[in-house]
Amino acid sequence: MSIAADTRLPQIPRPQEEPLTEGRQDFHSITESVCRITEYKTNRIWLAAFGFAVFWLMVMVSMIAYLVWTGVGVWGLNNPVGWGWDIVNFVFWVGIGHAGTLISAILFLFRQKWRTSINRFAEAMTIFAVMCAGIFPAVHVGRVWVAYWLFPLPNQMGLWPQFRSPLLWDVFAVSTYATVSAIFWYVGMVPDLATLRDRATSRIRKIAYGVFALGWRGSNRHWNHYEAAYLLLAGLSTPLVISVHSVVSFDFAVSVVPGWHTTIFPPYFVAGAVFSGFAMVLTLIIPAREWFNFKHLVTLRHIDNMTKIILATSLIVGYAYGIELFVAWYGGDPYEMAIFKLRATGPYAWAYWTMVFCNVVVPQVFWLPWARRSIPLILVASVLINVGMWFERFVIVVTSLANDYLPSSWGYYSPTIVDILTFIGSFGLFFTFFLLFLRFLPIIAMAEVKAILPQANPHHHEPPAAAIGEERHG
Amino acid sequence: MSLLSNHDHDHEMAVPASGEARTGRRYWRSLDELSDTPQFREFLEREFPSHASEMISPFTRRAFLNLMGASVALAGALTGCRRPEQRILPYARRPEDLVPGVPQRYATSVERGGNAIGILATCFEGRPVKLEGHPQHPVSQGALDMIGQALVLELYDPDRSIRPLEKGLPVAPVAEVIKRQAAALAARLRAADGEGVAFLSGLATSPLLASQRGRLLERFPRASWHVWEPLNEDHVYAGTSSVLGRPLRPAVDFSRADLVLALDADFLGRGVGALADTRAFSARRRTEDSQSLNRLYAVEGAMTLTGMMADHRLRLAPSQVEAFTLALAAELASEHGLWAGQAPAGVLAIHRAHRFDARWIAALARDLMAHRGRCAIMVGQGQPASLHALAAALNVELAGPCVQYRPPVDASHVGAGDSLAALVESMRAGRVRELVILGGNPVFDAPADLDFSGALAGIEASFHLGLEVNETALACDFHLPEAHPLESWGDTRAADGTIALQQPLIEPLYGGTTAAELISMVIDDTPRSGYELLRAHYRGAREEAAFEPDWAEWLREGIIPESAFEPEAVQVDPAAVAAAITGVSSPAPPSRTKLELVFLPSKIHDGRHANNGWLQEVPDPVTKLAWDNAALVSPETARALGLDNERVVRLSAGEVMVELPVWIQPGMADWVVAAPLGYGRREVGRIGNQVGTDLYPLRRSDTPLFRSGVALSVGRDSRPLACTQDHWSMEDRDLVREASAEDYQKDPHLFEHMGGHIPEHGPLWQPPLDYAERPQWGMAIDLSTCTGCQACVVACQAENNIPIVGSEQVRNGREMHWLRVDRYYVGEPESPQAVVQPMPCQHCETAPCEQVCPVAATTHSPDGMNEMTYNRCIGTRYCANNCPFKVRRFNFFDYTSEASDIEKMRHRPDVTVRMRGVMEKCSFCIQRISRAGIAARKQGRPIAEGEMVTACQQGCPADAIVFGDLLDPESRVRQLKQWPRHYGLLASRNLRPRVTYLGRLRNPNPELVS
Repeated sequence: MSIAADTRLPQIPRPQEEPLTEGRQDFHSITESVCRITEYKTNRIWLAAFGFAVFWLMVMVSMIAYLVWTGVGVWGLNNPVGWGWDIVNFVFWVGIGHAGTLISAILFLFRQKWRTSINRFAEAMTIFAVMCAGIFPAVHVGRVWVAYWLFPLPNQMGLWPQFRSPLLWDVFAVSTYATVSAIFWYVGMVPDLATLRDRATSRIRKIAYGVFALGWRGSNRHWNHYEAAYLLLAGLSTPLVISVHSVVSFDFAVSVVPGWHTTIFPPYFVAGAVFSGFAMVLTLIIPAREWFNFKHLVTLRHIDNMTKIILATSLIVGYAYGIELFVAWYGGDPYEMAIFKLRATGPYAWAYWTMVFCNVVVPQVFWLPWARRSIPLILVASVLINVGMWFERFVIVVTSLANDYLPSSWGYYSPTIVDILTFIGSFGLFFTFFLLFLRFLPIIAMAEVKAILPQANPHHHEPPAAAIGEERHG
Repeated sequence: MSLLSNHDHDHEMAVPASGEARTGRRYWRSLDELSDTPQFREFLEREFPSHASEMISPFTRRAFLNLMGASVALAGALTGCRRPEQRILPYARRPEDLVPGVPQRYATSVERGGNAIGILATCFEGRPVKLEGHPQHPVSQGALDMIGQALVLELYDPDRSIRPLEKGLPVAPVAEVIKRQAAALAARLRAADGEGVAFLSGLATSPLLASQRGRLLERFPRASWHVWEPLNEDHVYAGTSSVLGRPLRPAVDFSRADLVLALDADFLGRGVGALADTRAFSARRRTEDSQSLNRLYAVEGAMTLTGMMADHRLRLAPSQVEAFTLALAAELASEHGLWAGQAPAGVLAIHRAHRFDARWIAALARDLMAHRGRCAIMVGQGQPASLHALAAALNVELAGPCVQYRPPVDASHVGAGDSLAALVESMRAGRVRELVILGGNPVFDAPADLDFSGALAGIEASFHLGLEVNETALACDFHLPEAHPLESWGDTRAADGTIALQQPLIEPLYGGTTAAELISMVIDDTPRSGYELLRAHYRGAREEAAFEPDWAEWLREGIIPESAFEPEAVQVDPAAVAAAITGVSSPAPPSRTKLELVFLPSKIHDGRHANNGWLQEVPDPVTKLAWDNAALVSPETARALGLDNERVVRLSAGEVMVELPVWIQPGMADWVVAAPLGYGRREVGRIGNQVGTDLYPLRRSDTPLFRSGVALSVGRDSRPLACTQDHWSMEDRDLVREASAEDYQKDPHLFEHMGGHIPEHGPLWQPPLDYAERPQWGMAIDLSTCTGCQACVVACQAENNIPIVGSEQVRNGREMHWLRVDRYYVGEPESPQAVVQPMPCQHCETAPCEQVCPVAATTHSPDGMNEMTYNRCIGTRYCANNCPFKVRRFNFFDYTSEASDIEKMRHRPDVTVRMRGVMEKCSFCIQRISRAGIAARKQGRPIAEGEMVTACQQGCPADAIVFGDLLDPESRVRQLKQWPRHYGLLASRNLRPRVTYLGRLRNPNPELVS
């Protein structure tokens, strides 16, 4: 069909779409609402929150120091259960780190314009979550001081890593993901950093933003290169969204442990990661839009869309739970059947049913349109989903190890105080960086939001004031 | 195996010349001493060795974890994960026969509680580091039990007695104090021909000590000599004396006995005798075609290894066993005409008037009669003398040549119980004013009713010679350190009379002395050394020149040939049997309010090995409890009394009360509480102090191994117990496959079918190794013969420098044993059967662990072993997660680096001491493979069958573990793997394990299989 034929098609009237921003927005108002967050004098609430986060970060640092000094035995690990909260937390944080790139890259490629208000935020979350995730596998090894052997570094021993190990694939997958996500995030931020630079009044801000803005002048050539780079990076990131959690799932799927050795794991893990990532974005953005006053930029429509994704991924995850049980039964393998039976009825049944409740039951509320716009309900649900997704990883990692082939070695795992404090401390790390991000960086992609304003359309004519926000132009 | 010969006794372990002229022999203890560093001198001179603060301080976890081992090298001789930072000094002139790094082996022997074991000790550079059973010794026959394996650890125990004590205070120097005290003792003895002086020793088998005792009593005729042994055979000898006319020890000839009835007799589990009995018994269970299988009936109150091996097991409180046997005798006499109408009076009277399982007794009686002349009845040491008498009478009729009688090892045999009672009475009456205790710990383990410590406090002076500063040492006025059996000259006599020499493998680390030497100091004008005494004893009147070749030969071989007793012909005195039976009481069975308490000899024997970390940490073979002891009760008793695991209960009898936690043990008789003896030591060392609960306060002279009428009350607290296996059921998995002999005869391949249908599938990709070249190592473990005694576990621990981790870490599931023995119950929980399965690394050809290691720290060797490269391991634990058998062990903490110099001496230098953070596991004793491989390569031939044995295989008294080259057509392992009973675990996972199993055969009486 030729383009000419295409143009002759009758115009299908589109349903009235909700606007992506609320109120009377123009380029200046958006710049104002985003930039001023970084330009206010530091307020006490932020300082208190930051102090609190740093405190927990320090708790984590001291727990890790204690761990490295004394040995992995300070955790609750034992003989059948060689991985506990360390790997649970790793998978949990990697999963959370999933939403950012999905929003930025995949939704970008699918031309989902509503992503513009939340992508910066979600990408920041991704990067900090991946940082948290990276810490756990790094410190969980028995001899941290030789953990660099995981990398294929030329060395005098003439030894390479063992490339058949999924753990090694993990190293590559997560480090690639972290690198590309960080570059993607940074590249997308360059025009906004230039805006901050241009508004800067103090010398430090001028220099800092000046350096990071890389001499952005907003010229046509700049925009041309920028958009090409952004598109390429989006294309590069898209397979990573799928690959990183697939590879994380290989840690389990490639093993012979009943309950781990499952071909369904890669899609199941990716869906779960998107699920938890979006829940975490909601958990973070709901208070943020309130406190930093950008509800007109992150509107209920954005939130509504995100809850729909949560609902969809919850269904996938729920399906995966069901199909796991079915395959265990249908496959007829006694060890496989035993572990699934034990998960639901054994010593860890409480964890299993917590997981099912939080991940399968709770999100069903989002079938109701009002629920998708009820801020308190969404906040509660999103936190519960994160709890549930943590338990999902706990159920997978711990219960499978605790009850494998030989009943003689079955055991029970419980965390120690060090496990618990390290995990809480990882939130300290996350929020330390997140609060710094909120304070010093453009938390909404100004340039991109401006691009979806009506004013950005070349055919835009300023309508009468009353009509703004209710009318959109092709 | 080669026993290195020593042509000149004076240079058996002579020192390398160090420039300085020395006179006489000099042993050296360590390379440090050889180099004579100031640090070592300081170490010797100090009141306590380094870490003294930890020794004195109460039981810290840190101290606990670091009690053993070393991560850095001993003077550079060890390789470790860390580079050693110590100066090393090479030999200036190498001693003859000593190649650094090449071990030497010496034959010696030790004894335990009046029983001797022959030992072959492996020494590296003058340090004994590993003990094996002496292959020619009648008791060990090449194998060695848990306690024997662990003896070497006690040699290097930093808590050993290192200084004499006077009134509890240490005095030095050792040699002079010993001389001074011996002189004081001699003076007291001389004062009145020994009047008022008594000696108390253990049940020693040593002919040398016996002769020393004779000389002492000859020299000081008014002195007295007593013996005490908490786990003694008084009742056996009393029983046989009464019906056979003289004290005799029965021994079963398992090669002839097709049927064995064990009446409260744990002949496979307890005591030194279990070594030889297990070997002989298991030979009858090792069969390709089930033809030679014997049948074992066990009647017992507590679950034991014997009960676990039994084809039929009857749960019965020990107090009821005698009445049960009478009922059996009545059945035999009245239904089968045993004794041909001449049955001892009283036997017939009780026929059918009993409360036992009549069907069981009838079937057993029929089976016994069917096996007349080919059966044997064994009775436990704790059963009364009258039952031993009855059993002897029955055996004479039924067993024929299957039960042989030999005299006691010590010709002047006296019962330990009577002897100690007489001593205490003399002490109380003031007839004994001075007591010399030669070894042992009567203050801790004497019967409570004697109140030995009270009597001891009332006498004028007391001396104690002992290996450890124990309860008795502190209660005595004077204590002298004793030399460890591995440090001293001596001899032992095995149960069958074979004499074995004991030669020192190292100079006494702390300058202790032996009982024989001490007696010599007391009676001889010029005291003689242990060496001189021993040589003189055996030389007798012979000429030195004529004696020397024999002596050299005996030392090299370790045993004196043809010294065994001949079995004696016996005749029963029917009147004595009748008398014995009339004396039998039929006590009421235990009940809810009057429980029966069974004292179990434990893995620390009677408590003397309480400070041995290996023995404390190795799980009990039956309960799988490490460290603390517990009150074992049956599930029904627990339910009725409202008990759960780890709940503290109070056991009381009369005024005495002890508290200990409960452990529910399937297979116990109802209303019976069993508890291992020897725990709750107050003064033994950092490992053993206050571990578990002391049961001796409840033990009386007349109730040596069980006591009726004990009350139990439930407390509120619970005390954690360290159990290494939480799950009892096999969950219907085909892990231990077993079948009855009958079914096996019908279908010899039924073991293979038990695994279900396994689709044939090759590997996904071509394996990198084709395993075509010799050798290809493999192992087969025969579950029909394995009793689960766990000698292999301790052998592995000793061989491979495996650390102990302490009770808390065992509770966390972090024990380090490379080899474990899984125990599952099958059948009804009330009356279960048990199966065991030794579980080393299975060395899968397609090992899941290797595939997931990110740094290639675990890889496959061309000879088919899964190998661990500690230096490369970063400790992700992924391999352990992916191990289907969960045999990999992770060093969660640093268990080794804070060991003292003395403790470091027990490490094998050819096995890496692992640092924290690395994974470790069974290596098929790769150091032994290398050694055998080097020897074979030098001669340009493959390693021959039998040249390479693993430590577990060597230690196994049941010969259940067979290791060898799968490509050697002659190898036993290859033949075993072609037996129809052969199977591998988890075949559905395509792991292709090199360790495989032979299914377990049981031989039940068809009449009792309903």
